[in-house]
Amino acid sequence: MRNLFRLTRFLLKNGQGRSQSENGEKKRMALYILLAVCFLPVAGLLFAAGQEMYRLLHPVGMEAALIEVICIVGALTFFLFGLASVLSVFYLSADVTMLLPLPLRPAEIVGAKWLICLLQEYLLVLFVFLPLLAGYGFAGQMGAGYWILAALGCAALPAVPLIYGAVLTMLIMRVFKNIRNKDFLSYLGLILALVLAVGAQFLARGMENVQAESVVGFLEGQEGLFHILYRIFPSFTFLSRGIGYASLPDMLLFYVTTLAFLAVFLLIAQKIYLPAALGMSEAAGSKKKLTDAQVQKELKRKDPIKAYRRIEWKKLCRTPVYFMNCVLMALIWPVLCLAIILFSVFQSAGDNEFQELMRLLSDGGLQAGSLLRGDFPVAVAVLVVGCAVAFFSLFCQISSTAISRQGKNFIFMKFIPLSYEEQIRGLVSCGIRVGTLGILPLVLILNAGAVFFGLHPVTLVYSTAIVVLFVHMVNYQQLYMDICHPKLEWDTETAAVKQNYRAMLSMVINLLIGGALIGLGFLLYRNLSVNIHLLTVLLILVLTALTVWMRHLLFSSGTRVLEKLE
Amino acid sequence: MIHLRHVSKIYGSMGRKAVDDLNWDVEDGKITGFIGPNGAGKTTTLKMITGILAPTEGEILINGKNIVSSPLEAKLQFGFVADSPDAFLRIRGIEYLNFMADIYGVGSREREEFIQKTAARFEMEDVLGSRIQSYSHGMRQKIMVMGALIHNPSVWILDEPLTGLDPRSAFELKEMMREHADAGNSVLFSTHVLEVAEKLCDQIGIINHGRQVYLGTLDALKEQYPGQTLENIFLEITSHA
Repeated sequence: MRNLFRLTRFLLKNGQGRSQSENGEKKRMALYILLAVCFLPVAGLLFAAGQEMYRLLHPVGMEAALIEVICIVGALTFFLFGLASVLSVFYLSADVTMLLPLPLRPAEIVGAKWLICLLQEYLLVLFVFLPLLAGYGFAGQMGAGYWILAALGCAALPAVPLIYGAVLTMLIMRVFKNIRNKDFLSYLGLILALVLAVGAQFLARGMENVQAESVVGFLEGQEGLFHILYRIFPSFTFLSRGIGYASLPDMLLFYVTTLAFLAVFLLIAQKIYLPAALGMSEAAGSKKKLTDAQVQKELKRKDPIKAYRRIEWKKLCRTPVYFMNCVLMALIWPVLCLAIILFSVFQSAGDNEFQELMRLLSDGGLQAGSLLRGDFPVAVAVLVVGCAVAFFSLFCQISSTAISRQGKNFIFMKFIPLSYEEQIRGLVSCGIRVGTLGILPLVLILNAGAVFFGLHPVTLVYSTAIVVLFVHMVNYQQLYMDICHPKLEWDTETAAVKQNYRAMLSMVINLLIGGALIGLGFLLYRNLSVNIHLLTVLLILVLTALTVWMRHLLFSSGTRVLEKLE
Repeated sequence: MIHLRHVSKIYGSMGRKAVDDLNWDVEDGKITGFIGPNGAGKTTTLKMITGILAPTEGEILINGKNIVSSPLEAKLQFGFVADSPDAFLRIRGIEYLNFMADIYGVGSREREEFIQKTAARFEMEDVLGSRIQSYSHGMRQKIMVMGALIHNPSVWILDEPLTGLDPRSAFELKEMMREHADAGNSVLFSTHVLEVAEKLCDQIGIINHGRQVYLGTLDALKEQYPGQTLENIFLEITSHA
């Protein structure tokens, strides 16, 4: 048992990465606090939702049903999130070969890794499920029993779903022995996540016209989703009863069944996990001899900055975790949004209002070019473009992790005969290109469509200017921040990108800048009735000034910081 | 030619001296071995020479170019092989070599000739089209050596270059180092293997606790400690320092 906790603590510390500076721990703590503050609004909303739902259900005596819903939604959430977590901690980290020669029992290795996954899930518990239960408790003015049992319930809530996720992952890995290379697994995870995200989006859109009664029936009927889920997670009946009716015996039963699940899991996992994990390879290693013609084709001379950018681009695209988080997300989300908008348009083609509009247009009773005439549509378009570019820039992490991604190979940047300024130019151009490519086509397609309906054509110029300037500014700012606070000590590539809280902070700053600009423009337009064209030009000028300032900061101060970085 | 004048490196605000007042000339036409116990300051010194770390005090010149005041000119003078070859793992061998050639401005014909010659020497022809990730440790080391030398630098700086190499490749690299030095160029490499230093080096520098404790030829060192092996001499020097 002592080894289990020692190993867990060690693996946790190992995954965090060491700090570069002496007061790094304090900075890290400050960053965690800042991020917690950023998540507080979400927690606050969920708290209010818990309160509201209690008040809604209490008069009809159905408030305990809310706890059932929270518990089973929790089970499903932790199961789905657990799949990615298990894949990462159990299979994509390179520590198993180091741990096996140590005098540790297989159950201790598996147990420690499972505990790491469990601790990762507690963030969700803290910011999602605890606020919901707290809102419910406050609204119902619950006694101490409820609070203690809710806290106990939250502590063990992710355990069983995580065990299910781990067993499922291990069985898949056991069955597909021949495809156990890490890159393949990462791409598999990426495809699954995309299918889930796209499926959920289209399901949500498709559900809009579904009657509320049929949804309730689908969820709560005799063979409804909740009943099926409670059959899959039987111990959650005790959990929902334990919290909902403040029943200590039920909570004890929940803990006993959870521990039983855990014991069985450890027994099974040590048999099926370790052999599979040991057979993992980094990538398929095949010998590829090049012909003379291929060598000649490869060996074309290029400008050093172009070569630097190309190699950075290749690293981004060929490393699954970088490709997924830095490139694909920035490109896929705008496409997904466009698909949803088009899907909605086609779906509403059957609506009476839409058919009436089309009839008026075809009869000539309404001129297409007159629908969006005037200043207000321009204001809406500028606002939407501003929001879109601020939102979608969150998905592009290329510049915010550009130095961190170098990791231990950062020294390479220091000894090659390429100035830091040139290297910065090579790095930042990747982010700018992907950022622009992700957002600009979407904005232009939508605006071009709107111009057809009468929107002032100059909006296309405004949109292009806003997108191009904002993307540049964001990338300059993100790279500057990463130069100042890079995360260079990491063992897995995931840690450089997904567990890089400094990059997240950088994205929050972008959002704040974007929000401030949009908010300011909106207030000026609404309250002072400033002409929208004048206002937009002013906004573009401010954005230009900010971009120029950020660029100067990056190429002057950033270069100096990079030079001194050791 | 590498000149180090009163070079020191202090880490952190506590003022821990990792390298203390090094004065050293790595001469042309010679292979210089850099030896010392773990944590003695070898890698820190090599990192300062290559511009990875800035010296706290002193001056470093490579072929007369100051690594601090004229870093780009100085960096063009040398080829550096770092202690870990686990870099650019998702890049194919040929792409890595081409990239290094682009960075150092090597012409198309020169790079092709170099790659053909050294790939044959290191028996790497069959794997140049594969990603470095799929290479063994020794193969990764060889591709890093090829990348570092592709611009035909006059100064070679190698941090533990023989680690992980198979006997044939180690032999080839030692031969290449000898040929390079014999052509009037400088080779500086760090090693833990005293036998290698004994057989290969024209002069050695011994460093301990950041201080230079010996610089000169092996013969001169052995004359100071008659009848003793290099291992015993090394142990005695580093235990007294």
